[in-house]
Amino acid sequence: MKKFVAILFAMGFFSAQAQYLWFGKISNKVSQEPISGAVVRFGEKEYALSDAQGRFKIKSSDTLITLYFTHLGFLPDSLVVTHQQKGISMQLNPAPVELQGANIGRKRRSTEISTLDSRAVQTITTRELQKAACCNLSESFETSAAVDVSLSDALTGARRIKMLGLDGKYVQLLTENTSEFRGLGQAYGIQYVPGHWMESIQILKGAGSVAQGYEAFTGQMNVELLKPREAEKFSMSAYQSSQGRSELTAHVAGKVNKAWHGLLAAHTQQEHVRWDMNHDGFLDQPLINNVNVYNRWHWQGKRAESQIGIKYLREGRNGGEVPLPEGVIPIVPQYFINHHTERLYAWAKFGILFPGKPYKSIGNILSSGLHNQHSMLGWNEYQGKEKNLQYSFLYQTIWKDTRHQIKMGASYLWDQFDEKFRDSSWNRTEHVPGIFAEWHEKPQNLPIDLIVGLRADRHNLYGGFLTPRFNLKWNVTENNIVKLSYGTGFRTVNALVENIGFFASGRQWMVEEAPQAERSQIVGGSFIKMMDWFGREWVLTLDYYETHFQNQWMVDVEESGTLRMYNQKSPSFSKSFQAELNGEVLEGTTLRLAYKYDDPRSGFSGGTKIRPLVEQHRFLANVGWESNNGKWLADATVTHTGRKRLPSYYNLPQTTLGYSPGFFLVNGQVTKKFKHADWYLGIENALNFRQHHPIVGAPIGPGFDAAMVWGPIMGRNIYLGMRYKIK
Amino acid sequence: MKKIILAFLVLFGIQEIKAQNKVVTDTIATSTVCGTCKSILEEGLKFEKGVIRVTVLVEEKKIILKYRTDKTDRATLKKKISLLGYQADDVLADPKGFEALPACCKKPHEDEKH
Repeated sequence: MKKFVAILFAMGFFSAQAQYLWFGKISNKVSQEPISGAVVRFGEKEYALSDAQGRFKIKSSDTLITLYFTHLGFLPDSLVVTHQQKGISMQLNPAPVELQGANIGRKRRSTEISTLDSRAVQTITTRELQKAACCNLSESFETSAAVDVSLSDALTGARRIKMLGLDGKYVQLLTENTSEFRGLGQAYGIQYVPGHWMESIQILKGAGSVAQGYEAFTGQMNVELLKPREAEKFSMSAYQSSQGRSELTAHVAGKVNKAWHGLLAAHTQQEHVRWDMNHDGFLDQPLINNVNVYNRWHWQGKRAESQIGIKYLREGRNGGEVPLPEGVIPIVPQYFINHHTERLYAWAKFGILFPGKPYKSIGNILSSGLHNQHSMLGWNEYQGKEKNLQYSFLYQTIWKDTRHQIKMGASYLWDQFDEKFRDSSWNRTEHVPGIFAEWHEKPQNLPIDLIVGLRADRHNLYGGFLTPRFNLKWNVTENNIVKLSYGTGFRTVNALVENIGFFASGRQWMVEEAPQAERSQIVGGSFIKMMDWFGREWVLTLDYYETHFQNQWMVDVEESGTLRMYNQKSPSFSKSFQAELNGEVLEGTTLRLAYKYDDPRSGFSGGTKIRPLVEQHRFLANVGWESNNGKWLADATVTHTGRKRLPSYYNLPQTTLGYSPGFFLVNGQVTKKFKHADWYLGIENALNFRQHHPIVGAPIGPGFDAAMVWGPIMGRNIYLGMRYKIK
Repeated sequence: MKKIILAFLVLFGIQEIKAQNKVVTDTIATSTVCGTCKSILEEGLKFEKGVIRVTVLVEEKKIILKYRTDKTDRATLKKKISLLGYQADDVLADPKGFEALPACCKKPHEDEKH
């Protein structure tokens, strides 16, 4: 560049010398369009660039010069010109397609099914999360087919997720690979991660890594949160819905000094509007007051790296009957629900790096949580306290070369539970030391990728057990990939908190035996096919997984008035099939079509039955559109949830023969991005479909039940949100 | 409901609709070397006043810009590209902007290798 300037100067000085001037134009030989930015070289160092119209000019003192034309994407060419020749016209031939094909980078899809990972991992990126901009982790799956979300009961507003036909408690929920929400925190855990704190979500179906423990039955879900080094310096967002929900989130992040980066984030959710749209005398959703604070630090040294973080959450939920006006004394005491939860979670990670050996590392993760919950559901009182401490050590290296990778380590878990419900008290302390090893093999000559892992743990209450995990990826051809997976899972039962929805019922709880640990095996696989349709890339994914329980803790509500709990009496299993097609229809317009069939069966004492309140068929269609570099985004999703089985004796309105009706949900959102702010306007449940009478019976009787929820209780919701950020 | 959507469209959309006839598509030669350069330029330019769409063709070393002539002009955009650390036709890269670029974007490109 400097030389070019120097040449211009030089030309000025030596203007006395004879100068010749050439003008020319470069165009594409095929399309005849002008080529800008092409380099025209002459002599040793002199050159010119063509402008937007393909024009260039050259000055030289020579009477005869050779011009060399080069431009990426075109074949180079040359031309000899004399000083008499004035207008130069050069036509360049486009280079073969391979080279041009590489010019435009492939656009990153908002949801990516990994073709590199040997496990069936689907990543939901920030862009996908912004499609449905609300509000916490449980609401992040509106555009995803793999995970579905439903209400656990009609009063507490708690949401549950389901994957492969089974409840969310069988999905190991991780935040940055630490088990933040285990034990008592699991019931509401997915609602405790604010949407704007999430960077991405990875959903894994089938067997996960042994390094993360033994609790994954159907899969893993890992949430990556805002990171001190990558997050925007400042961000603030606000959300308001027509149903009275208000949210406010803010964070600051930055560099403290060369080694330290920090981040402080805060979030609050407030709902104070009393809704009783179906006029049954009960609030359709509880009033919520939630405060969530998060602070984390990153330290980077030359040979070591460390992160520490602390999170605090406080939440109050108040629901139940609509309070009578002041001064009116009810004949029967009114039924109220109050939940109060407080959580503190701290973690530290410390890693040792080996300069020059990027494949080798030592990692330590230490985390500790305190959970304190107090609930009043009518006259039922529940109190739950949990303290836990987890430590894991991980060593990663290679054997000979990076085609053979080894991970090994050890972990220790200490978990103390103290639960009280009505007049019974449930206490237990778990100590689980464990060791694990994982071998990752990428053979040189075969298109396969194999991970074999094994862990051995010793549980103080349930004895020792082994957890084998196996993953295989086979690239059949470049565009056809097969993934297979097998693994086992183990978890202990938290019989009370996992069934918190049934607290809001008049059922008599009968715990018929002491819970055994739940154990299962999963086997299944995915087939991924990448296709080129009309010059655009389409991806078809077919999944089939089967989960078989050796033991599952049954919650039997098949009979009216009772809730029986026991270890499974007949085979319990779940089979799940999913087909998903993703692709780009037009420039900037993407389409996703998915169909899912689940067949979850529970081994009740009366025989194996389809799990109640779980749909078997689900269909999802999503259209996304973006324009002008993503300054405008629009998104619409239609889902159809099939019928769900209801326990036999129920004869609820809208239902027929023990089945709930299938229903459609339509959601949409429009986003406009500005330099520092994004605005979004959205609609949920646009068709205003509702389950009209989710509460059965009167609170005082044994027939009272608020847990038979199969559809949305709240109707159409319109929301407006804004996010302001400074990079 | 309809009113809200309408208001939203009016707020953000109307100006873009009414000024359709003042929109031009222009190409500026630049000094990109990698995918990171593409994202720096696209993210850096897309919210500039008057810019409607930016596409960077890395290997062709071109920026295709769609913009409104009543709000901005070629010279202004070239200046902005320079500030981001890239050459824009004859305007050389701003040294400060260039200094701030990630290492991969600083590699000498073809027309500087002699």
